[in-house]
Parts: sequence; structure tokens; C-alpha cells
Amino acid sequence: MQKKRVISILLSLGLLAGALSGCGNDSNPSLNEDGSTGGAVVGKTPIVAESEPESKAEGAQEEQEPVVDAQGEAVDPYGPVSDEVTVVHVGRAESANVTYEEGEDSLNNYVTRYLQEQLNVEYVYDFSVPDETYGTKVAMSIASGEMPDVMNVNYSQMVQLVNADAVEDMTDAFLTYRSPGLKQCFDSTNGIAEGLVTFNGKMMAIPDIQPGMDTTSLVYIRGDWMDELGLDAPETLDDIIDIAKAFLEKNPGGNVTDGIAASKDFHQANGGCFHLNGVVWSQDAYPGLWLEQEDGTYVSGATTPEMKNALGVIRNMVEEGVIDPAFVVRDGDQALEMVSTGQAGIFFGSWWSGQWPVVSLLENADDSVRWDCFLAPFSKEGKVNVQKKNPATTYIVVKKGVSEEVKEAIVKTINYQYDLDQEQAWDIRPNGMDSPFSWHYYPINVLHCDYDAKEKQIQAVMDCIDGKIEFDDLSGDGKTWYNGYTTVEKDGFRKAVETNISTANAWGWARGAWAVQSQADKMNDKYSVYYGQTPSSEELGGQIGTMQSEFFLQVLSGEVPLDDFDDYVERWYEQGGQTITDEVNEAVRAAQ
Amino acid sequence: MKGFMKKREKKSGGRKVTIRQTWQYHLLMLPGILVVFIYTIIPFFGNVMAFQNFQPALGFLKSRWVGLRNFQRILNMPDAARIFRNSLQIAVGKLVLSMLLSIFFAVLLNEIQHAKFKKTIQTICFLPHFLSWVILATIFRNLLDVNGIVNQVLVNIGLIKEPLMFLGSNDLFQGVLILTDVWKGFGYGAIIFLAALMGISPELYEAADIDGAGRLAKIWHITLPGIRTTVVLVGTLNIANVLNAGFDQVYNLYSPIVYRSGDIIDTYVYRMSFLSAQYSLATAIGLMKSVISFILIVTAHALARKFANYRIF
Repeated sequence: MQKKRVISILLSLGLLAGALSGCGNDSNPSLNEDGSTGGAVVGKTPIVAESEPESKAEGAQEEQEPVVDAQGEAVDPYGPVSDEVTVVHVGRAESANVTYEEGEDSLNNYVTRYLQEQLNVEYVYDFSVPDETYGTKVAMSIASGEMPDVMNVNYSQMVQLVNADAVEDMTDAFLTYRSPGLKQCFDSTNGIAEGLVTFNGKMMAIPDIQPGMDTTSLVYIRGDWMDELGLDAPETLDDIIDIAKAFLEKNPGGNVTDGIAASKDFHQANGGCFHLNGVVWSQDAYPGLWLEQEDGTYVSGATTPEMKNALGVIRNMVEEGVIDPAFVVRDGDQALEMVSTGQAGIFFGSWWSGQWPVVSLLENADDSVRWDCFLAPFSKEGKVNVQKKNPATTYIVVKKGVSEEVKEAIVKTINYQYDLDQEQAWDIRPNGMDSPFSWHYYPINVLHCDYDAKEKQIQAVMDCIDGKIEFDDLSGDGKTWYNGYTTVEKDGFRKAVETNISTANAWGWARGAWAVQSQADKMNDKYSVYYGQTPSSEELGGQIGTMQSEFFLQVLSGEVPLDDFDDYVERWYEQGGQTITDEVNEAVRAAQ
Repeated sequence: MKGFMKKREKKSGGRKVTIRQTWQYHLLMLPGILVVFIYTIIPFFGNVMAFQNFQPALGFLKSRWVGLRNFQRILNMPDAARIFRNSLQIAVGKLVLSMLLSIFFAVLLNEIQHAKFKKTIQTICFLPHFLSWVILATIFRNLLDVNGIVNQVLVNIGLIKEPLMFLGSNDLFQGVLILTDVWKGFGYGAIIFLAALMGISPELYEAADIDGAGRLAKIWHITLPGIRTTVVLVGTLNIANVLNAGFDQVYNLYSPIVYRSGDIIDTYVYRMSFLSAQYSLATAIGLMKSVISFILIVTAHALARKFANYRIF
């Protein structure tokens, strides 16, 4: 096995050598030239995340070694792919929420033009279809055997493609051409991201990386009502319940019918809005994770005694009237309506909820309305428990049989896309901040940002406000956050909205992120021992998921007594949970 | 089957019709046949997926054959009994009620003399048919909310003491599905009966008038027998839909809390297959549904022939 791999690496490097012979002069002078080693280091990518991140030292060592191509020449991760134009066929989705400059579109905009010029490539969109139909389009292109060179797929599609041997091994291309920035981006996930796409030690796809802050749960409360009733900022769950009860009793807006606005999706593993994530996690229950037991085995967080406890806590809140029993059939839109009409004054959300829904709530409300956000509820140990999300949801796959130039072009495109996200394309926008920008301008439209990007960014913004760093040292996105935050602090929300809605939006994001980051030392981050999907979970996952969500809501609505939990756990294991649990245990042990 | 063939032979032997005389009619049928060919006949070959472990990247030819394993899996699913029962209850409820209401509505409409009024009523009752369930579901969610109009009215007139969770109660959910679907479809369903009513000879009514028959007597003895064959036809054709409980509607209205009473074959398949890309399983369930529907429709046709002496084919 090992020998085979070495041979295949050597072979592919040989191909590379031929491909790259023309562009040796473009090597980046800032890189050390040390042409002794024959090839790129194939880093050991763990299948599973270590629950205690401590692999930093290893990563630092790797950085010392220069990245070289097959000829031992240093590689410029930003240089042109070759003298001749490399054509890359892309399959992608269009987002309906993106606006372009007059006469431009997703194929022809300043970002794609810039990338094509820098890399000497040409992007051809084999298809670029609306979001809703993208899944079908991908399935069809796979089935018809007419896959584009590169496209984004979901996890199960990736597994199917890997099993069918239809996608390229990206290990060498990725390790050779990735920029230091992209490396840092992947390292910020502590190996989780690489682990998800590693099959038999080979990296078969490039995952996207989304900000990990999304799952930190914040509670948003009507600040004007709290002032009116003389209530203090909440810390524990009991504090939040007391505020909800006070709102219900005293009815500050005259319209209050519900304490906490929640939707039927009461647990949202990737973070979201109108959930009860914080309540569940504060009871040490993590239904979205695989957890290590005291005996060293791993179980699903949805079957633990803590989960039973958490369901009981929420059920109590329903019985006390703090949460309207009808939440079990309510969707997010209806929950939003409840807070916008003043029927409820509390909801749980993510850091980004400071922008949506809060900015639009405030925009359309009376100036007296105020939504405050707090990091709560704290657990008994005085920490805020956070179920850390899977950093990747989309996987970039490369069709089997494409040329090495195309693989190189794809990795280099991602290098640029990562940097563009960091800077929010600040340097290349033709008309400065008036030019619209979105990551859907990218040819391969996925997001790559550090797992801890938002934490770092808001910290920098606050350091800048405190005068510790210069405004010019902020990233492009940081600058908009800085502007938004300072404008609202100085002139108030209404003024900011009237000048520019993006200023108000930036304030919303910055405030939410700061609510998290300002208390970073109080976080208790919980990682899953396994973020992938086992072979059987594709077949059995749906059944178990159905049973799980049905049982949870039945308990919360009172249709089934809480004591049925043990019975549910038994059924959970019987209907396939045992198989999946065994597979997870095996996979985690195999990776150790 | 044999009976049909014999019958047909006899028929074609009776009168000679050449293509030269009837080619216009064949031309008219061509688009319909093309549609059937493209959307029904060609995809029919996709049914091989039901007997494979289909992997899109491998295609039909290279995917592994698994025999009847997919069907075994369906029958072993812990929820199989539940989703079949729900589908059957909901679909039969909808079929029976909507047909009764459509007939009732058509007969009433037929009795209206004022043409403009008749047309207006008819149009209004048609309209919901053209609305998508995505839109209607949002409307019904609001109407049937705990704080919605329906609950407010029911509480205020004293029919119920506490507001009901229509969409969150396993006792009420099927009823809601059936009633809302009937409301949406009965106006449209009445069209075919109205057409049948037009075909009843006015002389029969004139004769009945002379005999001194009242309105109800005329409906009972002339109108209803007059549309009997149409009723049998519609009923027989509808039997094929007995396992289609209406994905659009259920998917947009249900939530995990009512899986027990509202989860139907189609929503289950959707969750199992499309969300986790299990094409073979979805095909197997689809094929199984088709086979059951085929058996039902053949049985219904035989019964219709026996009891109503009516042949569709």
C-alpha cells in the first residue's frame, strides 16, 4: 500500500514536471529555495478530530520546509498555471441573493476577470443553475457521465463519487500549491476538514470551511422592556426564564402572549435562529455530536441521560408557559412574526442574528425598540457550552482524468478565493466599497474562511477601537465592521440605516460577534470525536433521524411522557443506531 | 385481458376505417403520445435501479445488482406499516369525500337557472385548484394556528374551550389534510360531472314534468342515473391514486410531531432517499406503488364491469 502510494506520487510528480517546465522563473522569491527534497510532504491527515487540539507543534515544523515541485523548484501558489491558457470547466450554483454590476454576471465580473488574468486560466461554466435545482443538476451530470472538471457536491455525493472512482486524488496538488493562508485556514479546524475528505490516506476532495462561531448560542432580548421592568442581564437559564415570566405577567408591549419565540427546529446543529440550542447544551447535552464515554467508547449525544434531562428542562418551560406549546408546529417565519409583532421578547440565535433578523426588526420598528444580545445561559460550572459545528458542508470534487494543470488551477483559484474573502476583495473592487461583492462572484463559489475567522476579526476591530492597532491593519471585512460599529455607537441606529443599510448590517454582525468574543474565556467548546458519516448512516440515518426528531417533539409537546426516553434509546439502537455506533467506534479507534 | 382482445378484434372487423380518413385525429393525438413516451415510457427503463445498488457515477450498466434486497428493506422498515396505513387512510378519505362533494356540487350547480350566477360560483370554486400547496400551506398554517382565526371563531362561539393545535395533533391532522384537499379540489373535480349532466337529454326532464315529478324526484330518477357511468369511470381511474396521498400538501403542512398520523409513503421516501441520495430505494418504493396501483385498477375495472356493466377500454 505504502509503496504503491509512493510510486503514484512519483508518477504524478513526473507529470507535473513536464507541465511546469515553462514557468520556473515565476517562483516567489520570498520562499526559501532548498531543492533537495524530491516531493511535497504528504501530511498525515487524521480521520477524526482530536478533542483536545494540540497538534500545533507539528504544523509549525512543516511550515519550515519549502514547498517545491517535482523539479525541486519553489512553487508560487499565486503564479500563473502555465504559459498557455488553461481551461477549467466548472459546474456551479447561482445564488438568487447576489447582485452584480450593470451588465456583469457570475462568469464575467471583476473577481473572475482578476483570477483569469493572474492565473492565465479561462473558466467555462458547464452549468450554473439556481440553488434549488443544483442538487438535481449535479446528480444528472454524474449519472450522464458528463461531469465538469470541478463542482461542489454534498457529503453523500462525494462518498458515492469516491466509491465509483470518478474523482481525482487531490493530495499532491493541494499540498503542493496551497498558499500559506489556505494552510492556516485548514489548520484552524485542527484536522477536522482534511479528515472529512480523506479516504485511505488520500485527499479526494477539498472541503469548504465555514466560521465555527456560528454555533455559539446567544439570547436576544427586548432591552427596552427589560429597562421598563427593571430587569438585569441574564446569566443562567433561570434568569432567562424569570425575564420571560416577567414579560408575560407585566406585558410591557401590550401584546405579549409568549415568553420565548422558538420554532419546531429546536435543535439546529449548524447554528441558526429561533432554536433552543443554548438550553439543550447548558444541560451538557449535545445531540449533534459523538461523545466519548468514561469507558472509552463513543456514543451519540442524542441518546445520553443528559439529553433526557435537557428534554425535561424544556418540557418544564413549556408547562410553565414560558414557551408556547404550539412551537412544535411553528416554522422560523412564524417565530419571526412573533418577535416582530411584539408577541414575544426573547429568542435564541447565532452571532449573525444581530444582523438578521435584528437589523430588519429594528429598521421597521419604532425607535424605542431595542434588542440586546447576551451570551447565556451559563451552565452550572459557570461556562457557556458550545457544540462546535462541522466546519465543512460542501465538497469540491475534481473529475477523474483532468490534467495536472487543471488541478493546479483549481487549488490556486481557491488560494485567491480565500484571500479575497479575508480582504473582502477590498483591493480589486473597481469602484471601491460601492462595488458589490459576494463569495458567489468566485468561479468555484464556496466559502473558505478560518474556523476562528470571526473571533479574530472582531478582536481586531475592538483592538482598533481601543487604539491598539491601526485601521489600515484591519482586513476589508474588518473595516466595514469597524465603520458600522462606530457609526451606530456614535450616531445611533436610525442614522446608520438612513445612510447605508450595509453600515447597519455591519454593526449587527460586529455586535453579535463581540457578544461572543468579549467572553471568549467563558466558552466550553465541545467537539465531536467524529464528524464524518459512516457507510451505514446513509442507509439508516434517515430512519433514526425520523424517530429521533419525532420522539423529541412528542416529549416536548407532552404527547409522550419523558420516562419513555429509555424505551426510545432502546429503539434507537435497534433500528440501526447500534450499527452506526459500532462503525463510529471503529473509525475513531482506527484513526488513533 | 383475453376478453378485451377478443372484443377489440370483433370491433375492428366490423367497420373499415382507413388512415386516410382519420389522420387528422391521429395528428391531434401525437403530442399526447410524445409526452407519454418521453415522460413515462423512457423513464420506465429506470426501474432497473430498483434491483441495483445504483451509484450515479457508475450508471445503470456498472452498478451492482442486488436482486430484491431493496424491497426487503422497505418491508423491514420499522415505519413501513405506519406509512402505508397513513397513505391509505388519507388517500381514501380524500377520494371518497371529494367525489361525493364534486357530484353534489355539480348537481346543485346544474339546478341553478341564472346563468351568470352559475358561472360565477363555478369559477370561484375552481380557483383553489390552481393554487400551489406551497402557498396554500402558508395560508392554512396561519388560519389553523393556535392563535389563528379558526381557533378564535371556534372558541368565541363556544364550540371548543381551548384552542386546538390542528397541525400538531395526531387526532386532527388527517382530518385537516382531507378537508383542505377536498376544499381545494372539489370545484375542479365537478367539471367532468357537469359535462356529463349537459349530456342528459332535456326530453327526459320534460317527460318527468308531465308526469308531475318534483325537483328531488327528477334528480334522483334522471340526473343521478344519467351520470352513473361517469361516476364509475372517475371512481375507477381514481383507484390508481389510492397510494398517492398528496406529497405537496403533506410535505408543506407536516412536522415531526405528526409523523405518526401524517407521514405518508412519499414524504418518507423523500426523507430517506433524496436527502441522502438513495436512488435505488426510492425507485423500489415507486415501483412497488405502481404495481399495487395496477392491481387495484384492474380489480376496480373488473368490478365496474361486473356491477355497472361499464367498460373503460
